[in-house]
Amino acid sequence: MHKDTSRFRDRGLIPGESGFGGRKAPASSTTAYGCPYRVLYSSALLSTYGAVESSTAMASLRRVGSRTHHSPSRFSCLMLIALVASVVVNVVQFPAIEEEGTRWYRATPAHESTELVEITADQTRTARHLYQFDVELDALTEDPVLVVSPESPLLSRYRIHIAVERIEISDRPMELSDDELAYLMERADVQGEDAQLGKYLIAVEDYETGYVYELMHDEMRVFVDEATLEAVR
Amino acid sequence: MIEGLVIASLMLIGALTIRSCGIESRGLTLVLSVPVACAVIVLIGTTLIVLGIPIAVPPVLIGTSLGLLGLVTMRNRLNRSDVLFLSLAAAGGMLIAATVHGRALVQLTVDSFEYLTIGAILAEDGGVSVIPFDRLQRRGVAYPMLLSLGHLGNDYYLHSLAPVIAVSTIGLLVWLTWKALSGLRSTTRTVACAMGALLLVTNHRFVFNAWYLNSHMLFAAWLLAAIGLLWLHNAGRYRVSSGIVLVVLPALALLRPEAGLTALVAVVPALASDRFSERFKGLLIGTIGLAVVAWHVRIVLQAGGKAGIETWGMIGVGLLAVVVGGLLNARVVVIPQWTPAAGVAVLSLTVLVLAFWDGGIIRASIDATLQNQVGGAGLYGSSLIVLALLSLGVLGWRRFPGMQMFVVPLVAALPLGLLLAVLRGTAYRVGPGDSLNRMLFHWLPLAILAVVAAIDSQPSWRRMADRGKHKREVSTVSQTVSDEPRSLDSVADLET
Repeated sequence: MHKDTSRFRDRGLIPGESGFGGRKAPASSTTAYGCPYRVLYSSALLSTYGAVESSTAMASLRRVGSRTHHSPSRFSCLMLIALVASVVVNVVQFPAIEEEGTRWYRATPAHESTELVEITADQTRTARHLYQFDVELDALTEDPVLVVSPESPLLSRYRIHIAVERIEISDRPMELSDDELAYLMERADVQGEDAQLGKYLIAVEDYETGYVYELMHDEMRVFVDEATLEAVR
Repeated sequence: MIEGLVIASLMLIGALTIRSCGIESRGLTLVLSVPVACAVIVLIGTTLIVLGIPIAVPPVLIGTSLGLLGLVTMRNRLNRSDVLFLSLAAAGGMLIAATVHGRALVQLTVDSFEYLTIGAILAEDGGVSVIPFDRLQRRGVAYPMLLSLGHLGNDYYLHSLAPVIAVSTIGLLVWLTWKALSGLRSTTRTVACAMGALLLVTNHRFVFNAWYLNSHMLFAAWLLAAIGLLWLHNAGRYRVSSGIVLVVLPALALLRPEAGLTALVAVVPALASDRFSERFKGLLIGTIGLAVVAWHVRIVLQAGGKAGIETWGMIGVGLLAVVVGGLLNARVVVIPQWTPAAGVAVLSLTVLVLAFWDGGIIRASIDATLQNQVGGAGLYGSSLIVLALLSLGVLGWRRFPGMQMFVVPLVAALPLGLLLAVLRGTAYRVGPGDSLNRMLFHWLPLAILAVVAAIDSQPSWRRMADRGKHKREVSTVSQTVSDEPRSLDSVADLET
């Protein structure tokens, strides 16, 4: 079995090609492939994709190869088979991965969401939703989470995020004054200027639909734990 | 509607930038316009921030568009066909944006909220002085700057940015593989290109990242564009203008904390290649180094004496790159062709030594990575394992022109990742949110390109045989060398 490599030379590729070892590969004439390498490649790839390799597929792809200028031959066919097999593996595994670890969220402004009205009617439930949302997203189970309903004077988005990292959650809602918020922010090592930021973005998960709705409001309420509550008071 | 206009503007900025760099290919323009526009916005915006000039993204966007439009009009008058093409491309971008915005699907993690926070500050305040320096170090401003374009439409981010970048990445991969397999007939070529694209699209993490508010898709697109175009030129299959690469790579270096290192490692083969002029090599590494130094000096100024080793270390690396770039440009030094192999070996040995010296982090990281990739916890399925076997197999035992451009980034990916774990002081963890698990996505399109390109390759043992013949065929080689594509020269190529 012979391989014509004149295409490389014709395109001026071989002479100037720098190999990984740093040497220039010279022009070459037609030379045979080595059978051991063919066997090696065939064995390795066919064993990996044994289920896919079949005489029919092979023959079909070889027909594709035979129509080329340069007779890509068996290696090209094997590579095409490998690519097809990889695609098949991806497609087969996709639903399981999707079911196992991916949830899709719908980005809907709060005022456009009728479901959100129902969710925010129950403050505690809202907080729980957000708690689980963050825990599930990044598996940061040791990181306490905050949150919120769009009813009270609030933090900026930035401050909220810091709060998410620092403030313990509690089932007890507590509305904070500006001074109390400032104390919490100081405790969370946040600079005072950040309080100037006026907008925030949080997300509320809807258990029933599986979506997360984005809340875009200028007010919210913060829930904190007993220890923090004592400290603030 | 407004988001559609923003995406159309990005396409226009990118297309004009590509055109001003002397690239005429409309296919490449189409698939690369949005990633290039993102790079332009990032470079201009970051420069303003580093200089302490408050920015607001809308003026930056509009100013850049007008400036590029003027530049291209002066240098390279657009004909009616060009205008029609740009209009259709912009309309296509608007259509995609409208479709995506209507679907409103998104993937969010805690990281996303940090990016959104910084983006909101950039959009509303224009400065970064209120952002803690460690957050700047960890997240940067490049990606938040792009997200903040959504504030033009009273949103918190551009809903369609990641999906459009994903579409661009698919298109870029198809374009590159099509060029790579130019020696084959169209049937084989078409099948191979389609399989490459399907391999990317059917990867679950690709779909995830196409909707994820994080910088991974953009990182992968920029890396694929830069290395893919450098490779095509190195292989003599397409002459690429240097301007595009010199826009994309410095922007990539600003995208993530480790991006500067990744970019520098990825360009080492180009620095050692004799297909590029010394001037271009100097600019290549010098601009990356300059971007790294400038951004991290800004962080040091913000930190007020609290900057850590990760910041100072990056400044050192960046300065070294700038010095090397200067020396290359002045033709004082030449990077030997064995440098890429030696660099990968040194990197791997360093990781090995660290593993034996204080291997807790590395061992834990390897264990977590195995669980993520082999055990399936990283949610890649078996796709990365299969692709790694395929790509390393073909890169190890096959050869095709310019393949060292793939070997170094792909082989160095894992050692570099492990080294980063040591530098940051914590091991990687099990789960899809793990940093290395997410970073591995950056190399996915590049690995697919390498595998597909290897379809038109020869067994590597032929090189050994060819070396023996080389001495006997010196005269033949000399004759053919004159037909090689000439070295890439930044100025010359900009003019062509």
